[in-house]
Amino acid sequence: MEYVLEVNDLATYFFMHDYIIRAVDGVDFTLAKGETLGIVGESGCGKSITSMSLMRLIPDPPGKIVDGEVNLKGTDLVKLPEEKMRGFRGNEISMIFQEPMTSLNPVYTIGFQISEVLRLHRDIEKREALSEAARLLKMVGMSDPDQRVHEYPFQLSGGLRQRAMIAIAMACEPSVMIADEPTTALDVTIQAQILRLMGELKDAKDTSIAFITHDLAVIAGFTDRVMVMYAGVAVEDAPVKEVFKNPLHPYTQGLLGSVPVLGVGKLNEDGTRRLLQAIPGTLPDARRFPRGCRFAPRCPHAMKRCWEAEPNMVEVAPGHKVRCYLHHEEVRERKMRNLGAAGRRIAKLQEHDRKKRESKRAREERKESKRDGVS
Amino acid sequence: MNPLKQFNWRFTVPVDLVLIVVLVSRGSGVFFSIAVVEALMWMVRLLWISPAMLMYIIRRLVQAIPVLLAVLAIGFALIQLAPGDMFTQMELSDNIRPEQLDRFREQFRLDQPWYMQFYQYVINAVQGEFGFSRTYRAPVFAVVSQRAANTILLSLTSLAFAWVLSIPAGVFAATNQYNIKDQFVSIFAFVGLAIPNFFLAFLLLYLVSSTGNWLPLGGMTSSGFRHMTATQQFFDIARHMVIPVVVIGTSIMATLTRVMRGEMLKIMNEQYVVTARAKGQTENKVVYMHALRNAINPMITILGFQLGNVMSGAALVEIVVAWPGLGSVLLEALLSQDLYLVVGSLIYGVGLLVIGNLLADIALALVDPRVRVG
Amino acid sequence: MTDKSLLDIRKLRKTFPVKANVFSTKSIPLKAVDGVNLQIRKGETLGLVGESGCGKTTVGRCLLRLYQPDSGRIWLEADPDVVAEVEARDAEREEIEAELQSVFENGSARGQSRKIRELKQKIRTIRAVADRKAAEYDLLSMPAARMQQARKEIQMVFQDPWASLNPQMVVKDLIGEGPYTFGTHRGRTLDRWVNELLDKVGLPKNAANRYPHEFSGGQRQRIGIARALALTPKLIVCDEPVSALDVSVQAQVLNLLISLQDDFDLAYLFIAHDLSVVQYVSDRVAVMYLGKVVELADSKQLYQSPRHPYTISLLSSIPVADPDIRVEGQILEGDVPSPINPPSGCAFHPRCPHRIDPCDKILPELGRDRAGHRIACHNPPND
Repeated sequence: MEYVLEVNDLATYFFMHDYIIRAVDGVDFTLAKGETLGIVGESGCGKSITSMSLMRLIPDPPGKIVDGEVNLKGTDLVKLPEEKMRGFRGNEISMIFQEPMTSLNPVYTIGFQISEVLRLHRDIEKREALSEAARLLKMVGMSDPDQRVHEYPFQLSGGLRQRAMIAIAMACEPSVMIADEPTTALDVTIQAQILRLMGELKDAKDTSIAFITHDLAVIAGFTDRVMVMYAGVAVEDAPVKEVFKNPLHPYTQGLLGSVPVLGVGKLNEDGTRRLLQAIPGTLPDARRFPRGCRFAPRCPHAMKRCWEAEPNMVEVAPGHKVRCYLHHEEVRERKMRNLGAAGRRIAKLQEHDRKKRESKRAREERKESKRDGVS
Repeated sequence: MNPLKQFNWRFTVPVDLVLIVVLVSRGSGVFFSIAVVEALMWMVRLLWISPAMLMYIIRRLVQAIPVLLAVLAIGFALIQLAPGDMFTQMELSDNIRPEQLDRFREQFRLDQPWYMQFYQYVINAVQGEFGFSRTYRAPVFAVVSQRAANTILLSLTSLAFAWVLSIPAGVFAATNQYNIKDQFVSIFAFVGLAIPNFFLAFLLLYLVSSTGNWLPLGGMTSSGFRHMTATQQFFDIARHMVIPVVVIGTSIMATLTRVMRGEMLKIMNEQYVVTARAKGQTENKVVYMHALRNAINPMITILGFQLGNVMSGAALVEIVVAWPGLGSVLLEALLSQDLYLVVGSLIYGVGLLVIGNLLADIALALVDPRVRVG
Repeated sequence: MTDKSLLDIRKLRKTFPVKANVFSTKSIPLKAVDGVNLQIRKGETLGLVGESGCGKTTVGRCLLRLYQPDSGRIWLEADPDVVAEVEARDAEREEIEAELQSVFENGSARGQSRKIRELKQKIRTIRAVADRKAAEYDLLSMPAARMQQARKEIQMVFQDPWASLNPQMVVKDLIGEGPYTFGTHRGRTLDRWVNELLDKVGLPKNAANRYPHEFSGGQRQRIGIARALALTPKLIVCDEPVSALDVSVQAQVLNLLISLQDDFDLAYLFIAHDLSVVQYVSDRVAVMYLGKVVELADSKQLYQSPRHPYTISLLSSIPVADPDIRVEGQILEGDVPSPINPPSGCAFHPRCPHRIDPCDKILPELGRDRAGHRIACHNPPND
């Protein structure tokens, strides 16, 4: 499969006066042509910072992309000089934002703001750009496009403004569009309109979309794959059906459980009050993440090793990756089974070695922490 | 779209020019013609762009009437409270008989009750007449109007000076937030605010005079002004304006720069600035086209407020550098107890303020589409 | 009116003056709430849903008299006889008002100034009599002293947990302010009461002496709930209490509200835009559109067989957390019209897929249909 966008080990930190916020701390994902990836997580999980990092729009200082690469059709955007990066923004990779009320400049007409992006990346005349803008407005389903290009943002409703934003983002037919909570500020009936429009445009132009949202329900019917983020890292990455039917990470399970399901009613079958399945506790402080798994303090399955070291992302099924020790076991067991009797012995030896290494490291760390405590 | 609905500059500007030329050719003064034609044409334009706004302006003008009436009342009360009247001094003179004085008083309606006098006073004031200046032996209008024009010239130039400098300074400080450049601008602005105007004026006068008098030290024109060509006259006045404009300008630059910086910082965090960057726009255009255009609105509002500051600041500086404006005429009038001149120049000052504020409001309405179209 | 009724809202109206444009002095009335009738029974939850601008928040705020409604009555545990009598007088007054209106509309007002004066006088007298009668139970015509007592019975939980707590006050004072002012708890009993409330809403005891900024959004909302509970009200108006919270925290707060209801025997007016949240707490649900209630039914019935076309499309446009179900059915076209100039007849008719002839002329009444729903529609689908 050919990927339009490949993100490897992306890390964006914010260097504040006396602490560092590890907003995005090693995120990998890929985006195939015409594919839609949902990036889901709660506030502060780093999903918006991830999208801003892809666009290289992190305010610097205090933010900085400290590591990783963002490969867009073979160009690493992270290493690109700012001038070259400008040629990509709005052209090859574009973005729409959460607040349609504030994301358009109030003092310029809609037509001007759409033709601005066209004139930046295409070699066209002012007048031509304006008629192109009207065509784009028609494409995003606005009536009277020739009239609308002369209107100012405050004359449009929230839904229409978001359509105008989509027109700006799609103007240069980018290969990747990032949608950062594009429907969160809208009413449900308008949200349905916008989602339908985005789906139609994606199919027509074969654009790859990274759809960022906190609302699992929104992406269920809209995306091909879902990446769940928690506290700056991806915890699960799987095809959309897998995520909803067979969630593996305890956080994903909790998140799904806490989404209210339509039509179940107030009472259970036995007449007791129906309660939502909530995740106890709150998000960890981005200044001091737990040393081990970042979800451990809220996790119902937390084991000793979860507190000690952060688990890696492992692929448990084709295309289904998860960052959890529960499934590390599973993966190892499967490998052992595949190896047969000889393999089992090798695995046992490896296990022995690993335990030894771990206990040694733990000892050293204890020593170190003691030393730190003294000094 | 209805073409008539859309406002078109190309259509109206020639009309302006033609009208001005016609008026001038019929013997009206150039400035007078421009003022009359522009006032008229702007009414027409506003009626075209937004009738609601024309109504608003008319309403604002009507609202200004009570303010001006109150000022007139205060001025009138001052005159009435002062002992005697215009002709009291003449009573001492041997050349004038008492019957003659009575006739004068009748002529000036000083024999009537105070409310009739006030009525007459207001009627006169509307025609720009505020009585007779004793010291200048001329109507107050004649004395004050030239001085008022000088004050307007000085105030507006100072405002423009401060505005033109403080906008880039504010933008510069905002785009370099918290680093040494930002601090430098802030310190500079505060020094400008902290130095008293008259002291800075003396300081500049001293500097200029000790480095070889490369600028005139006072007044508005040089001695041979009447014999100069128009261009020479222009530069002569400009040279005389340098010191007062710098003095008045720096005193309000501090406020304007701080406002501009704060506003820019706020706007640079707006979502639409991020949108502009996400389009691939250059940082310069993001700052000057997207952010600055929005940050300018409060600067226009503040312009109206600052007009009062500028004019009171100008009054002091005028006295120091002998600029023949309202400030210096007010001082002269006070010293020589020329009551009508004092009241006349005060009313002139207030009138200018009211109109200035109104103009600032209109300017704001014109630049902000939310106000203009909505 | 059943004896279990706690609050009975009758013909509630509230308009806001809106400037026609920036330059004008004239204002146009924006009908935020336009003749709403609702009843809340003791210990039940009434969900009030609708899109932004439909007037649901205004209804909630009118109950607490945070807004002063233009007209209508809000009965609090009223004596049915008094209600009946006042209603009769109000009906009489409305008749005269209609007569007055017709005098004006006939254009014959010039010669009839005496008649107009008489009618106006009559209206004033009847209203004064009715208000005096209603003063004991009607929140809108109560004298200040009685209102102060009534305030204890109705409390509110606000949407924004960041803006609704005074940052200068410690949690103890935030929660204890109400009981202290009303004198229900003083001194050490107040401290004990605050601790008990903190425990009830799941906050540690040491929270009492901390400031709101030390808490997360979910915890702040818990503080807000404790504050509302502090006067042991009979009704809590929850205005979008979870919409500012993250999904996982939202579930915690919803569960808390559910369990508190049983502990304190509370009734809720649960205002929200999210229909899937509302069903977890509500016994009955009212759907509002442009200032009017368009459907009111038992929660289960409303979700399983919605009757009003607006409710149907609202429900079908909610995304479902299941990748096998694509959002289909009707997606409503267009935007919600401006409440300044609402469409004639049924306000929903320009967007309605089931629009028939009289929809754009005659305003449908909220009537009971055979399934037991109350809907305001001329042509309900599947009928």
